[in-house]
Amino acid sequence: MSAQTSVESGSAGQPGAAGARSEPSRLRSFMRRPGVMHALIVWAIVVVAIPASRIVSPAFPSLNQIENIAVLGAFLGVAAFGVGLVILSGGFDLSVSSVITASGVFAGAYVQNGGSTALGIVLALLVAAGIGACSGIGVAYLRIPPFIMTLATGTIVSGALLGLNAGHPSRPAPQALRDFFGTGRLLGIPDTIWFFIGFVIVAVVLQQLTTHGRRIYAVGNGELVATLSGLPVRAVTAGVYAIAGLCYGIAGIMLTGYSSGANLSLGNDYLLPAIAAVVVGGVSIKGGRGTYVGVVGGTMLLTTVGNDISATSLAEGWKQVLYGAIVLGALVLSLGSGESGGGRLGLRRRLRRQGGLGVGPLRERPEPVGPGRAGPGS
Amino acid sequence: MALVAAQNLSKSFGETQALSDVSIAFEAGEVHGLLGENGAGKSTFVKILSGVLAPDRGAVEVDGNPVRLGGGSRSLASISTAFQELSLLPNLTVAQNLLLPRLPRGPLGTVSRRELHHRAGEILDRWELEVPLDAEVESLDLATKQRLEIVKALSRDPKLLILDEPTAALADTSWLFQHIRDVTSRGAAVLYISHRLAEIRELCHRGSVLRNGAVVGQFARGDFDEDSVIAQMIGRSFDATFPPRSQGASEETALRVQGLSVADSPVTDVDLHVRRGEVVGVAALEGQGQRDLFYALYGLRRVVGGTVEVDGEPVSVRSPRGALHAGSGIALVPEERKVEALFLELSSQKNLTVPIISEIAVGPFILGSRERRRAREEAKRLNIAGDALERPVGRLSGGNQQKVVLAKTLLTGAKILLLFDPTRGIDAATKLEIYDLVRRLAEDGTSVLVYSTEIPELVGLCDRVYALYEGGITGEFSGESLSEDNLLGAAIGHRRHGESGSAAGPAADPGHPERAVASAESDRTQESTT
Amino acid sequence: MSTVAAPVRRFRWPSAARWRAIAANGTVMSAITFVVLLAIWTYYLPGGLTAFQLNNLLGLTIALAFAGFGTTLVIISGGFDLSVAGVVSLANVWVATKMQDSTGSVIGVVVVVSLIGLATGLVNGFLVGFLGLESIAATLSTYIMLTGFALVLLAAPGGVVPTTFSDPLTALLGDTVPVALLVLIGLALVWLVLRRTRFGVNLFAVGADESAAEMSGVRVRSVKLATYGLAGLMYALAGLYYSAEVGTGDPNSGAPFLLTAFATVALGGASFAGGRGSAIGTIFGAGVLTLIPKVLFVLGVASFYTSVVQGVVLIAAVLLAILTARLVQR
Repeated sequence: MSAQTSVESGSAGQPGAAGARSEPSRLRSFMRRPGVMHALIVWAIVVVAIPASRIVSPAFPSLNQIENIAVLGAFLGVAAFGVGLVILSGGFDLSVSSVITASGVFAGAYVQNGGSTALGIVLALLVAAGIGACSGIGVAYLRIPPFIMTLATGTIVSGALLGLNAGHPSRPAPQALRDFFGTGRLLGIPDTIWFFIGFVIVAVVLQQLTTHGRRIYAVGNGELVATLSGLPVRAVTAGVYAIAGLCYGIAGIMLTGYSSGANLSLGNDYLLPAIAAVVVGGVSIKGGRGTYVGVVGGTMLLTTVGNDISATSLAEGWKQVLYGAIVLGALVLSLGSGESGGGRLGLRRRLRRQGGLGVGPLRERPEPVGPGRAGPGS
Repeated sequence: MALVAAQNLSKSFGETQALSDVSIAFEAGEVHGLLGENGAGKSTFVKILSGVLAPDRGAVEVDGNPVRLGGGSRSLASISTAFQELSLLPNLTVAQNLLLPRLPRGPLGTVSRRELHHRAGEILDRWELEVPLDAEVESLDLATKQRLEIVKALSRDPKLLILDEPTAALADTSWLFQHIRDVTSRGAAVLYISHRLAEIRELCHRGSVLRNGAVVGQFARGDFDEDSVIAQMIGRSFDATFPPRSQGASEETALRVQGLSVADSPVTDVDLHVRRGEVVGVAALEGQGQRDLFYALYGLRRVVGGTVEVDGEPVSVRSPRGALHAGSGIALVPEERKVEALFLELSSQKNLTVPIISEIAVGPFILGSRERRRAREEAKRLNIAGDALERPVGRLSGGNQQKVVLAKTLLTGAKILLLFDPTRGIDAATKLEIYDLVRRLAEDGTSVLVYSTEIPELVGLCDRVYALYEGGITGEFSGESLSEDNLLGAAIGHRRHGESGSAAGPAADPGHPERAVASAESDRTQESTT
Repeated sequence: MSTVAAPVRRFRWPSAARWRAIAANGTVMSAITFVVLLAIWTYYLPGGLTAFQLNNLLGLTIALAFAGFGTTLVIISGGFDLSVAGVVSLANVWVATKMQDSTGSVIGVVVVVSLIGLATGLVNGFLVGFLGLESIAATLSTYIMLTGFALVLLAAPGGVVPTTFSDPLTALLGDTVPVALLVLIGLALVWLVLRRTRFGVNLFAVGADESAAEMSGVRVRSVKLATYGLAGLMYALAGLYYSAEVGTGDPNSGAPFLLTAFATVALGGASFAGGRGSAIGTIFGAGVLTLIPKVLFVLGVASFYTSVVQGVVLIAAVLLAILTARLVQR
């Protein structure tokens, strides 16, 4: 038994020599990146779903319909970026609705009491980011499970809003906001859509091309690994919640302008759809995998379906039923795209394999080195 | 006819072929040894035999009848296993653990505590283990847990008893060996997995050697030759493995640790130093505080006493971030690469650049070209396949993953490397590459502190080795005195600090340390039980 | 040789550690908190604690206790279940729209609603246990669907819950003993029995370490199926009792339960990492959560701030649990 033979047998399992064919594999490896395939599928369904709307109404598809979907999707999409980022980092956020409401109501109240619109918006966004930062600090530094922490901040904020707004069930939207998000158009396209396009660009850049975005992916892949790699995990985590809060704040401002005012239920309908859009968009609820491009696809898909249901005589409830079904479908779809190490596994094969129940060749036993992750599912 | 026969078992995980076409027959009354390096496929084989994993191909027959695999361990009543990673539930009591999943029920259909304790007590008595029945397993020490795991497997009266590294945490093996003999005398077979050759030699009638998921050799009691077995395990003769040592390290001390004590760990009053360009090893049996020592130096454990100096300057390392910035930098290659070192969903390239993310960015923006260049350079140095860079690191083979871990650690530019078991679970070829790499690094002035479960590896690789026992340094060996026997003697607590020289444990046979373990350990038990 | 150096008993509990262990026991802490709050409330309550007041308190507690019970099971198994809100909404709407004021109808609807809850839970259990979906994501999808079904049945708040159904559940037996109290005691007994069954032991095993449980022969998938199924049934019972208390239907009535159910579990001291917890702690947690607004009221704090205090108490409870757990580890 010579050293020579063992070297050969040792490297037998590794395909491809170094440096071989880098160009064709670039595209393929891009496609193989976790979440990319999923995002493509979701967008493909959106593209098919809009013309398919004709089934429910002869008025569809139309430019008007697409415009509607884009505007309605914009509010959800902005909030979903926040939720998506938190989930990507391995956390969870239940404070979406309260923060959206808080931001809108704050801006409305500030301007109603004679403040300037611009300052009102800035302060409202600061309040929203601040609430997010509180959640983040609780999760990152006090090690409270994100589920509980955001539940608590959401509850506290909604209680505080109720108390502080006693006697003011609704705050009118500042005129400038009404003009921009309500009626404004540029080149025939609603300002909201322009704004959303800009937001998506900034968000994608932040997520994919900046150091902070990369750190978020890293933390979501494993808090322990990130800590051992020398990342400031706590600061990154706290920062993620603050950014998320900011996004909810922006959504709150947009909604206030769009609906001409902010009442205490402004954000109520956004928690579940936002999480749903994130899941449909292919973000793994365990963290570390997914893209905002996919999430926007998920947002548009849900909005299209909602729009279609509204055009029929079906009860509004069916919209929710369909949302739930779509979320489930997306989850099952992501089963097929396989986990790390496992390669691609068909659903049937996975079912059969479940005898093993994920008991791999090496059981991964994270020992409590430093701060362990205390999130849901951990 | 064999009592239990594994036939042509194959299993792959993604791209890694964990087991290919393995057939082993177990005869009634025999102890069958299974040898192999970490990652050779032993665990996978055990999991398939015990019903936890389904093989891709192949079958297992008991008394000539094929059994269903992959249906969970309860589907295979005739085979029971004491798992290396222990199948005990920490939040259940000793009695509950022993009788899971079929706890005795009382008239109300609830679990009868009295009957449970009665039966569990009988089991403990029969196998001579003394543990409180209602203690939660969490509160037991590691050795007791290991014994309990073994008793749990014994108590099922299986036709095939599988013991996977049953002595990892046991100082005294006589209790275990005696019961193994009981089991075989009743006509059952035992599959005994250990990397301690002395145990295999003492206990086993026959044996098989696994490498890269295939059976590469078999032996019987009469013809057990340790040199050839080791050669089969690692795939080449032993001496050819290690690169030559460098021509002496510099006199400058890169890392000096004095009187180090670590909170919540056995590590107390540890002195050690690593010179610039030196490769220093730490030899220790399982659980002597080596992990705490390494992790404390990397800022992951609370230091409660002592000083750490880097390049002559005292440093206080409180986090990995702090360690990477301490002096010329301290970096760690941690124990469990999948849990501690790799972002499994990210590509290898992104894994590599996470620690140096600010170096490849302008302001907040990552420069893709700079990232690719840095990653490629490092990948080339470590011989990582080009297309591996673009793929999620979780889908690479163990060897490539470990190279990515090393590359990532090296990219930090740290001049002091802490390597915790860097060759765990990887193929022999990659091991060789890693040895070469470590040597090259040392020649370039990097200082390396390395722990390995394989003591021969330390002897071959290091300039100097400390032995660690119960959290304290029990010996320091270099040059002539750096031998496996000396290391083992010190690693099992035989000699105190400062002593060094020849003579090791009584049954020691120069050349291969495992031979000394059992006898030396029983000595230790005599000492510690007084 | 028979005189093996077997390990000796090394389990002496120093009394200090014992006390710290008690402090770290969520059930004890939530019970103490409940008693303290109850005492404060009673002290400030004009006329002291009457059977009527108690009945009112327990009536508000009980639906939460059922919902928390189910949630506790799932948390112990190491998962999360968001479908509680959906099941409660659907149960409430079903009762408010389908139940007639006759014994037969009452029984029929109770059975149907229970089956809806059970079926939902089994679907969740299948998705989580057999398909291997993340529990939060899987139960999110069923939650959204159930909310949709509730909206389809009843688009806006309305409907009436027959008194044939609600009166017995909210009654005072002999003008002194609230039926709700008996039900709560029954619920606690169910827990005490359940955790002593094979299923109960397996549940804790799965929650602590799935692969070790699998290796020990526990059928992990079946345990999960049963856990979510039982939890779904509990949510349905929560919805039934809630309907009896409020007397009307609302398609969004379940939404608050999402937050409060998890809050009760946190207050009850269960570990969100799985493997630890007690439904009795959760029941006291439900009591604490309903007592907070009442105590605030008698103390003269504006009712707006109730949820602020609830949120703060929730954070405090979790922090306390984390701190005491650390103390015990020392």
